[in-house]
Amino acid sequence: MNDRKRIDLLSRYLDDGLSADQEQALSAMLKSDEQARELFYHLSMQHALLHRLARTTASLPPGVEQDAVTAPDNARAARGRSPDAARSRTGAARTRIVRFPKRRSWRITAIAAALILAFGMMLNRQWDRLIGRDTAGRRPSVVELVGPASVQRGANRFSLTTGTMLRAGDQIVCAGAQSRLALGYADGTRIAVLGAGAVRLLPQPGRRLFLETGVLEAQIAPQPSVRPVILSTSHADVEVLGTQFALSATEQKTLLDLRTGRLRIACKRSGESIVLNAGSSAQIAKTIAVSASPLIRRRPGHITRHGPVLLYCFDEGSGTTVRDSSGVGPPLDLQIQDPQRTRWLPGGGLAVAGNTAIRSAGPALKLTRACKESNALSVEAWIKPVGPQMDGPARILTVSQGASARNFTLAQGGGAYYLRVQVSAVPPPSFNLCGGLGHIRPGLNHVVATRDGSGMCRLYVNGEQRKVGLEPHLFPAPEDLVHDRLEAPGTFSGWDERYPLMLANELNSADRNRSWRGEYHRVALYSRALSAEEVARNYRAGPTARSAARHAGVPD
Amino acid sequence: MGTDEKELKGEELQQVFLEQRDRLFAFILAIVHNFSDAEDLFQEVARVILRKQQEAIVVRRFGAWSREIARRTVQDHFKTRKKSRLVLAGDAFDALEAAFAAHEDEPAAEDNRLLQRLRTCLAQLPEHLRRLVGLRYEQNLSLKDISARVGRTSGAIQVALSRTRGRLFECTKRLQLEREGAL
Repeated sequence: MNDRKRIDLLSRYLDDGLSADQEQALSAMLKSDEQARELFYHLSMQHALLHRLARTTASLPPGVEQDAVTAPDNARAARGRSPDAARSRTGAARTRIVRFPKRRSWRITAIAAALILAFGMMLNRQWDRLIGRDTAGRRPSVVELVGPASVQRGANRFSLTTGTMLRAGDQIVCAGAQSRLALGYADGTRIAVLGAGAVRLLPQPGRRLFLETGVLEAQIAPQPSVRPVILSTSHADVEVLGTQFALSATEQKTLLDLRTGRLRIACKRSGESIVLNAGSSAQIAKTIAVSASPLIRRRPGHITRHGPVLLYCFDEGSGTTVRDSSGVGPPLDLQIQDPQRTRWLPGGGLAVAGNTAIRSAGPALKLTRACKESNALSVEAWIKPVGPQMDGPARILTVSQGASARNFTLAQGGGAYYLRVQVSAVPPPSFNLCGGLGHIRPGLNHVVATRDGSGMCRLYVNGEQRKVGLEPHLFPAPEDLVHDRLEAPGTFSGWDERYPLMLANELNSADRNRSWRGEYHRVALYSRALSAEEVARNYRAGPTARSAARHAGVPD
Repeated sequence: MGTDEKELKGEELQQVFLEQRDRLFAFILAIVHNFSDAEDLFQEVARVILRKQQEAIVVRRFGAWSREIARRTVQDHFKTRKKSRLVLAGDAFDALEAAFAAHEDEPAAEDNRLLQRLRTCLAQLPEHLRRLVGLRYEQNLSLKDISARVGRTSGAIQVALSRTRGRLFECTKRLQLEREGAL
């Protein structure tokens, strides 16, 4: 029997598609044929790993380590059967195997029940530890990492990587001046250490961090009033119930800039305590001094990483130039190549009616470099396509040289939105993600595609996160898409700094059949992944927000 | 010295289990076919292993030991499901066990390397075969369901899947040989 026949029989077996005769043939083959057994092992491993590959990025709850256990747990989540439910099912199974003797006193029963409960809890805790699951959602994990960072855990020190779960007592040290380390919690809370600095996760109950030195930026999801997040320095305790702010600690003083929400600061020396309102800042040393202007000076790199690196509002009303109003670095204005095929809209916006291109005169260097540094990206566009069907896929915007050489592309084709992004671990030209049919709505669409530092890509349309699949997808109908996010593994290290930013088409004349038609109302490009909350906020702010500051991620 | 020649207990046992989980899952999946059943059974086997760790038992041959636990768990599972049955039984099952036993001494890191090679090979597949892999593995559709979706016979789907597996197998082998400098 040749390998092809062996593979055919084994493949049928793996798909549960053997007839009775074929079952007998398989059994006989496995018993007598060593090569068949060898092939069986390899095909079985391949079968299991394909299953794992397909499942590992689907619907994982935040905070769960990707590699902690297996595809099985992820698949359970994808099927809507929560791990908690699974635990309780098997917990029940454990309870059932213990048979209580009849007519014993209730005390013995109670003691036995307590012991079983304690044993069950111990097993569950051990199980959670084994699979790295954070049942309480209080342990953060590293969700973004640029530059070197390590953790001191007891007597051990090891390097941090994206996805590492942290524990109470861990001391995190970021070494590089340009480094950035973001910790994420299950509820969306995100705390980032910018540049060199050190943070400890305090062992007290709740979420308590101690900033030893450095600058910390926090976005805290709303917390129960009885369990605030507490960020401490040697001078102050900051109790947070849900807000955005930056905190800086040195030996001499602690500075705090509050962007949104309210929080309470307590000075450790004076015992003084105040409530700080949005837009205010405070310096804490021996006492607290409140200021109306920001006190923390962040390096330009950090500012560009936070707000849009490129921003186009399409409010020029005339001419052939679309201005970059990001205010970050040298502006990268765009030129309309065939103005007769475009039309400025009263009240703002640019309509593209024919095959043209809107391109930057030079390379999109500041964006490319910032993204290469962060390995993260958000593409945000307020657009009104002429219809759901466009071929190509049609380029809404792209930083590329042509159809087969790109850094990233946001496109529309076959009734769906696409994000294509070049990453080091996927063969060129790119990792391709698609949304589902029906996501393209009549009228204005707010489309946001993100790729975070850990490689996870997400798609949002009109403020809501959408299911995604890998392109090309046979049936990109929403019900066929099972992933909340997909992993584009690797880095942006291969991004070409010479590529310009193009709207409505490709650069290469041979690829000019990727023409997108419709209206542009706003385009913003970030070198970080916007959170779901930020996307929703931007959607609510609408396309006519003329000021960059109305949009998420723009510093004070 | 292979993992299966070491005495394992406590944290070490847990560590080896984590390293070898893909192989153990592949073994279970090879017996039961169905992804959902395999996932549930794997969870059960993992719990048994964890309980043994708590009991501080010493394991000398982890692969054989864990597969024996898997075999018993699977047999119990099939006893409670009258409609299901084990296709591989008796000598054929022993042959499957022998196939996995023959690879026990391979380092666990090889499984991760195979995963990376599979990623690369998947990307090299023609579009229609990638779609097929997506339907089978990403959406967990049976041959019958795929057949209904794409409007082709189950037989045609089966042949296409078999060829796709063959191509992936050849491709991963080639990449492995390239890595080892044999090509």
